[in-house]
Amino acid sequence: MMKRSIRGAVAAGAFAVAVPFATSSSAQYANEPFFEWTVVMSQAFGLEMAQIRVNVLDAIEGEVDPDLIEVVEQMAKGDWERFGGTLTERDPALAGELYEHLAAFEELLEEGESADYLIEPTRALLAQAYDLVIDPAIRETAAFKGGVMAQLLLAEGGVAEGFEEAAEEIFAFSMGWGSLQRVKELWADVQGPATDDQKDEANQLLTILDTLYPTVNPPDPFVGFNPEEAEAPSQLFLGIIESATDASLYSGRDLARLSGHLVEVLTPACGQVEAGQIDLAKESFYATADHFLGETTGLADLLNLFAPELYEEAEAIFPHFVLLEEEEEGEEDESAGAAPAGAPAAEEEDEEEIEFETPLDACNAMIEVLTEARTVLGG
Amino acid sequence: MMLLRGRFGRTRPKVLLASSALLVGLGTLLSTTAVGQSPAYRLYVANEYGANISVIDPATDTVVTEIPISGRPGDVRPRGMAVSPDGSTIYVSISDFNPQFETPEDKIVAIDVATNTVTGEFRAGGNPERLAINPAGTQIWASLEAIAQGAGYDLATGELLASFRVGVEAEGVAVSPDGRWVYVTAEATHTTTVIDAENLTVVKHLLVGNRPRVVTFSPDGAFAYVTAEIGGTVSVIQTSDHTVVATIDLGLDSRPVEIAISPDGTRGYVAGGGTSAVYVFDTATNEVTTTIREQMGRRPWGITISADGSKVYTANGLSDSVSVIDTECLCVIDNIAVGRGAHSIVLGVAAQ
Repeated sequence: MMKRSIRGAVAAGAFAVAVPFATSSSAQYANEPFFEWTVVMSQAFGLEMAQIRVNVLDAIEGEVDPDLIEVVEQMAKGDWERFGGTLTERDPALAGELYEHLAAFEELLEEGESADYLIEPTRALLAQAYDLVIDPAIRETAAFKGGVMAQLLLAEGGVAEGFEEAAEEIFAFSMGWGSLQRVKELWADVQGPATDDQKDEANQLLTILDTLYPTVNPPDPFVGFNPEEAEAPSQLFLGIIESATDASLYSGRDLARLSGHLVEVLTPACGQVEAGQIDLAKESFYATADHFLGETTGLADLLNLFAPELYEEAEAIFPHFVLLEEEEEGEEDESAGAAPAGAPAAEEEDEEEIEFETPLDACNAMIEVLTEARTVLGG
Repeated sequence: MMLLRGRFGRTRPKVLLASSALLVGLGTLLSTTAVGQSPAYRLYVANEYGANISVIDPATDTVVTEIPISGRPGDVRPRGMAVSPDGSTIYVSISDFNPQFETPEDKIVAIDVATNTVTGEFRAGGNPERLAINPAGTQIWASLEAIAQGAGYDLATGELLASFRVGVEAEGVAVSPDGRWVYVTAEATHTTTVIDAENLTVVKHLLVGNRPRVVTFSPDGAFAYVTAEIGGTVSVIQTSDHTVVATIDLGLDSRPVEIAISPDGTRGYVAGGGTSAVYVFDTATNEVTTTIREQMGRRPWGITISADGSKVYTANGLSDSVSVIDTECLCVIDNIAVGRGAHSIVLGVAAQ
């Protein structure tokens, strides 16, 4: 198998990159949880999502619905992989026990059986895991809590996305509901420094979100709803959370800086890959994927526009380390599907399959991609 | 305490949405304003959640009528607007967020300022978010949010002239005063795409502030200004070579959306949705000189200026109101209640 090298020249013609004179405003908030604790925030997201899945199963009414598998299937997969390596290193017995519990949910639901008896013990195990994986000095900070809220509001499986995805996967709605309940708990913790106007606006936005998510049980069928409805209130609420927590919660404000930072995150991960500690390395890749592929940063979309070869390279690398959702049939990338009318059609290119001989090659290639992205973006 | 006038409730809308598929003589409306008569200005506010347009008489700061856009408020939303060069026609972009029919209600509608009636419409698929008209009044450009395109249409016929791939989540659009360039912003890719409207080609994409929203040109066309909602900035683009030459920092909590430049080109006014403020900057220094907060309505998104530059109006999405700012004292002198979810505001003019 060949390993493709990354080209030096990345964009030309109509896609030439203009580097701004100044890229963004100077930091106004004192904290940057996604830069200060990049991997920790991803570990926390895995733990939070696993906890929310348990809460959803606990709260949901009615008989076991086979589609609930949508809720639990990531517990022992994507959620676990965000923190499992670290937990195993720190307490192998706890890690083993927790993994067994998380995996058991899926098995039981596949067999159409109730998993109720697992709920309380799993909650307890997750709480222990949280204590071991996330430094208490970090988790008690408002900035950390703000970062968790940002993820729960805008990331995959969260409040905004849950509503959008519910038309395709009905219990994404329940996950959105569960994320919203957790966001409200955290907001109660951090809202102290917010102004009265901000608190008032936050209450209005939460009322809107509560109206969209009245119960854990999704409307059946989920039709007649605007799938984007939870996006705007979630975004607006996050602006208030930034102010209240004195934390910048959009990691993509300076994309060149973000690319450079992700190189720093992945460099030790490649060392872990070389040392055979693949589970630990994966945690850094999940964190990187959050910021590279996340809709709020737009880094992947931007590279797809300016330097598509870097985007394609990254697209081939991530599946070596993280579980990505399969694109639905017929679902296309917005930008890719928008060919110019009244302009010459893009030249057909021979598609070259990008493969890597070893995970270490893939890891090092990702560092090259990010390094080059930083240059492309003016860093 | 915030000033707030009584909510509109006098005149009921007289006209339902025109059902004709194509524009009915939109081009001819461009030349209907009689010369020599004193102008009667009207402010048009697109109420995103009310699915209607509030019409304000700026002489009295009162709502004179409300124009319905759709019977499906919440699903079908009027958002960005543009005004014909003679001021006589308002064009509104309508997006259908929850299509219940095979063909969504994504379209551009035209409103006659003289009669406040919808005089035509044409389809613009892909969630048109904002609009801009060229100075000749022959083309209308739309940012098509859902399909990442900037599209130009013949204003007289509604025929699609060209559409171009821009960044993801196309948002703002503006045509340069000489009609040569169309700038289209894209929220998800943090870009502005430059389209050559003469040759109908894409010139370049350029990186601007994070989550760019609205773009507008200076009256002389030398600069374009792009607000960035998450970046909390305004990128200043030199149009001679389409490069960002300065970035105005409004603060990360500002969440700027619409921007307007004074008729004499000396000041910029930015609607700060995050802080319920209007930021005033000096275009010579690109420095913020004043921040107007006192008496402002909540979450201003839309902004426009009176023809003589003496007043600035903001559409406030959270308080469902329009704030009126005197540009001499740079203070709020009135707040006018409008419909639900005031999104954008423009100024039209009809002969008296």
